[in-house]
Amino acid sequence: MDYDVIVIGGGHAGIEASLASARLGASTLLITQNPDTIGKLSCNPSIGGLSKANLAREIDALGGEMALITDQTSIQYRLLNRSRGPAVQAARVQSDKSAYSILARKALEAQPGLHIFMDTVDGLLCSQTVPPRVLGVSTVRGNKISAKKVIIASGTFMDGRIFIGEYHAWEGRLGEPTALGLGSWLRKAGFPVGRMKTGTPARIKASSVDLDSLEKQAGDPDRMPFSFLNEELPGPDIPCHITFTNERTHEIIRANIGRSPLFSGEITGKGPRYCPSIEDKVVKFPHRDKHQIFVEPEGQYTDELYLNGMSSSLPEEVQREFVKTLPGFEEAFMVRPGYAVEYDYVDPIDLHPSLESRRMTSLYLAGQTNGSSGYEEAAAQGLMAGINAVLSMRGEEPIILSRSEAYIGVLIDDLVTLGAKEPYRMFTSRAERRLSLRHDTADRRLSPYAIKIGLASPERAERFAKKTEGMSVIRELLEQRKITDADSKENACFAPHIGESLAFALKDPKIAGLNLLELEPALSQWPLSLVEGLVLDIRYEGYIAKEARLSARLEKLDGAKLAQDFDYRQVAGLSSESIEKLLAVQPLSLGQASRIPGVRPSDIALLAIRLNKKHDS
Amino acid sequence: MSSSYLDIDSDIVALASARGHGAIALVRIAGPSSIRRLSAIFSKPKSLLKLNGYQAVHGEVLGQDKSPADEVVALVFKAPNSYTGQDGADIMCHGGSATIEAVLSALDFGGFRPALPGEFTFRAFYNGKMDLARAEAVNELIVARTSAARADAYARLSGALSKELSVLKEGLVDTAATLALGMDYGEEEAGEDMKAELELLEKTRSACLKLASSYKVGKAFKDGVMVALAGKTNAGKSSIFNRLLKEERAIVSPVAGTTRDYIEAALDLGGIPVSIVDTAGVRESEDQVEAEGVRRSWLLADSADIVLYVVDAGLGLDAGDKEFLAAHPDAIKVWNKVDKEGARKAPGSWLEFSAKQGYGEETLVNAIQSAALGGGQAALLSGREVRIGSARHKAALEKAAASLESAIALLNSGGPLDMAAVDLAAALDALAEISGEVSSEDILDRLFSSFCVGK
Ligand SMILES: Cc1cc2nc3c(=O)[nH]c(=O)nc-3n(C[C@H](O)[C@H](O)[C@H](O)COP(=O)(O)OP(=O)(O)OC[C@H]3O[C@@H](n4cnc5c(N)ncnc54)[C@H](O)[C@@H]3O)c2cc1C
Ligand SMILES: Nc1nc2c(ncn2[C@@H]2O[C@H](COP(=O)(O)OP(=O)(O)OP(=O)(O)O)[C@@H](O)[C@H]2O)c(=O)[nH]1
Ligand SMILES: [Mg+2]
Repeated sequence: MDYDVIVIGGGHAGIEASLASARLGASTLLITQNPDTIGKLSCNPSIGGLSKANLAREIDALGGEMALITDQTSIQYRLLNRSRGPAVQAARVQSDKSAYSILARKALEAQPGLHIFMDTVDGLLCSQTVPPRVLGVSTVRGNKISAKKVIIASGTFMDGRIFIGEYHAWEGRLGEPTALGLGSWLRKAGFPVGRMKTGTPARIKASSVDLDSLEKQAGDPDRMPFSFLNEELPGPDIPCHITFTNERTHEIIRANIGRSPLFSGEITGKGPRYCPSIEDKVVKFPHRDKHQIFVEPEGQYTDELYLNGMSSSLPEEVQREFVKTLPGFEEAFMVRPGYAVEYDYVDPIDLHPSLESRRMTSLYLAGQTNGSSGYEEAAAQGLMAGINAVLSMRGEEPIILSRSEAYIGVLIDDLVTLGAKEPYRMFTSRAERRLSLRHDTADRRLSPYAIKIGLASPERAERFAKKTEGMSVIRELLEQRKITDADSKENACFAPHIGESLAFALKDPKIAGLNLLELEPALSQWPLSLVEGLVLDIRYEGYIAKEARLSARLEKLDGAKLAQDFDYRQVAGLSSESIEKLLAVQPLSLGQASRIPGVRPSDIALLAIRLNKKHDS
Repeated sequence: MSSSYLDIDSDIVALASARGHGAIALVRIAGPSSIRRLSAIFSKPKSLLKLNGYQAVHGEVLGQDKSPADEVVALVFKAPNSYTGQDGADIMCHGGSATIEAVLSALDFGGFRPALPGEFTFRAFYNGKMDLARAEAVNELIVARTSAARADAYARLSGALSKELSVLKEGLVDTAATLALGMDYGEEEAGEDMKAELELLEKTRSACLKLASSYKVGKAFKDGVMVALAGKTNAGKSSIFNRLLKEERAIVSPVAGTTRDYIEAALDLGGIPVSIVDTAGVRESEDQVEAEGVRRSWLLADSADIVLYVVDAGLGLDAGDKEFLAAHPDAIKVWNKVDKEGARKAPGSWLEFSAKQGYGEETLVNAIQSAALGGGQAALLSGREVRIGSARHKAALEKAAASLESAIALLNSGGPLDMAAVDLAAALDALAEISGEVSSEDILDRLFSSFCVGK
């Protein structure tokens, strides 16, 4: 055996997968088409955002790399949804693209037990058993490399094809060759391979744009790092700008709509609804007279700008023309055109929740290959695939995070239960227990796993222990501090709380808004973020309980495990539609079964009875 | 729920027609092996087994000793095109208790289990043939005591309640989608203004409360109401009782203290099943028996849904009357014997009545109905309003309204969306409890079909 684990693809999924694998002690090979493109931010120059920041912090809590690189490459920080409640707020940073890629590569190269190898995988080696077991990979240059586990993280490159108007080319990103062969190999082997598409906007030379005439959007002054290992977020604060499309923009788009490969039928893959191209928006919302465009810097070492909201696959000359209709862009020079990319993905309905293939043992799939979209979504899957591949080698149970425990749990459960019919992106509203999934609690929720399996560095473990201790000391301080007459003389809002503990009084929003350090100076020995975290815990206790009650049914169902080899055909009374769906997904629990579209509630009740009967006998 | 309801694989049997001496009785069977089981005790098993759904066969049901229990016609249903969604049959046999018993015991010998109350309907619900609200209505339909009660349950069965609920839910799902939009896209892209949402939440909340209060009506139709006649001796209570019943049920006499113990009778009052109780008149009494009767009258008046308090117009009000009325402010006040010479004029809120002549009867009946239906809800009787029929619905609707109230308060005070979203989810969950489910995928679908978002 050449390696314990082979990871195919050096994108965000592949980076986390290969680092986790090597850090857990497995000899690991990352095969990627070109080491120079490791960790490229293919589309927007930013990490985080609503629910995605939660993913990034969860990845960090589990011992992943994404947050660390993000913190080092940030060129602007903003906290989104400040006014909408701590459970749904999240940070986003503009990230320096080239720096991100360089640091990602550096992290991989510095990792003992991990090799990077430049080649393109075009097939898998596998046993003739039923089901087959993956034994390694074959490459376009004729290399055959064996491994105990293989993780596919091929992103948008498997039979990737880009489109710019009538122009198309076999590329996974503009200017980068597609990875041919693996997709057809998987198709032939019976994997449910389909096509998806996504798109990216044009990049514009910043010095050709009159940015000063545009509304400026500066970052927040108080910045918080993504990684729980960092105290501060370094880096400059480079502003973004806001501009709008107008009727003229829309006219040009409408006049050329027939030349879009999407409308002409060239592209068959399904695109993301939530990230529509500008031509999509113009067609779908004819009454809107303008669409907002965010103008974002691509980095410190480049003059290129990214036009967020302007993704397009119209012909270059059309793009050039409509970009010029944007206020401030009259003289704009287009460095790269926007384009659409269509690629092979493997329907994740075919996966175990560990991300191992049900069709071929020891094979794992992660990232955009699974029909997801987004860096954070990819990285989260890569991390879990890497962890579970090694745990399986050790003969240990995989880590399967629940929906009430992590956004990663929601992400993977959705993917393997619902399958992906269109690119899947995380949303806050996908999580039922979002009040419990605050980004600042990611380490409390997940670091114990990382410590247990050995993925947390000693530094992380130590910091976590200290934080845990701090939280309990702070809680005690808050509980011991009683509100007195003197307090109410000082501030009238204490009047109704005399005699209560400060912890209890904090449920009153007026009190929660006060400076607690003045009230209880002993608190100042601890980082403010810990105090704030606890105040939130206390403030939300009632609502977290409400939320828990709501999802209690769900969790009870999640707790009812179903055997993987359960033969649903043997259950009299199940509808044939449900049987088919259940056999296709092979859910791990009744809860997962209940989320499969097309499985009827009555059939879940029926399965529940079967399970109960089994327990009785 | 008893586990035997969930034991949906067993084959069950029940007499579907009323017990008694009808010409034909209907015995119903259902279950996955019900047809096979029936064929084992049927004189023409092959013809029976050959049948498709909605086809019938004539033959004999055979008893334990293989002798015919009765000559029957069996109408076969095949899953899923049946009431229960399972295989089953309606067996028409001859009426008469002895015959019915013979057929039932033959089926018992054949391995059928006697069905639990409502078990056929439970299976229909279980198999997705109807939602819970409708399944409940079936049961109400069966036990309906008056034709209006039947119409009320029928409206629910035909899905009127489910429809109304789905309108309410739709509005909430829309609002949840807006909140989700706020949570998913942030201030930059999704607007801040919640005015329209607040309006809708408020509207939905009052609709929930209105539906919840319609339980009074649904309950009146379903369970009926108890009306107690109270008043001093000789006020004319028994006379009014008889007049409403249109028969001389209670003894009427000029002797004060005629009614010694209470009498109860059933009455259909404009569709509402009413049980009306005549009680012993109130007076100071030495008589032990009568004193006990009076004590019971008071108890009855206290437990009745509606009290009719009767006063003799010739005598007018005294302190005792006032005391009673102070304790029963909702009583319907009847100023009886207005025909009598020297009768005093009725004070404002009293209803002029003459048990002797029937004067004021219509007004009194209306007053009783209106009180039974929660006051001033006569419009509800038009039949177009949707009503709920169970305490379960009422509790769920009140829970939904409370959650909405808390969401409204949060949004009004600029409170965080993440909390308001939990309240909204709780409201939706409560409504979904009545009939179906709402999942977060629904909300996302809604979100994408009606909003334009970038980033
Ligand atoms: C045009 C475009 C538009 C996008 N738009 C958005 C957007 O709007 N919003 C959003 O959230 N995300 C967008 N993305 C997606 C985002 O870039 C991805 O979600 C993320 O990068 C996926 O990470 P990954 O690790 O799965 O794959 P990738 O980042 O695509 O990395 C895959 C890597 O694997 C290598 N590779 C592939 N196959 C092989 C093989 N057979 N052998 C060897 N190496 C191989 C490739 O060379 C590449 O380095 C877009 C991507 C593109 C290309
Ligand atoms: N003129 C007239 N007499 C009435 C009327 N209603 C009742 N009476 C007479 O009043 C007397 C008492 O009537 P009941 O109906 O027995 O009175 P009650 O309230 O039941 O009396 P107790 O049972 O003794 O408490 C009888 O003689 C009735 O005929 C009425 O409307 N007009
Ligand atoms: Mg009487």
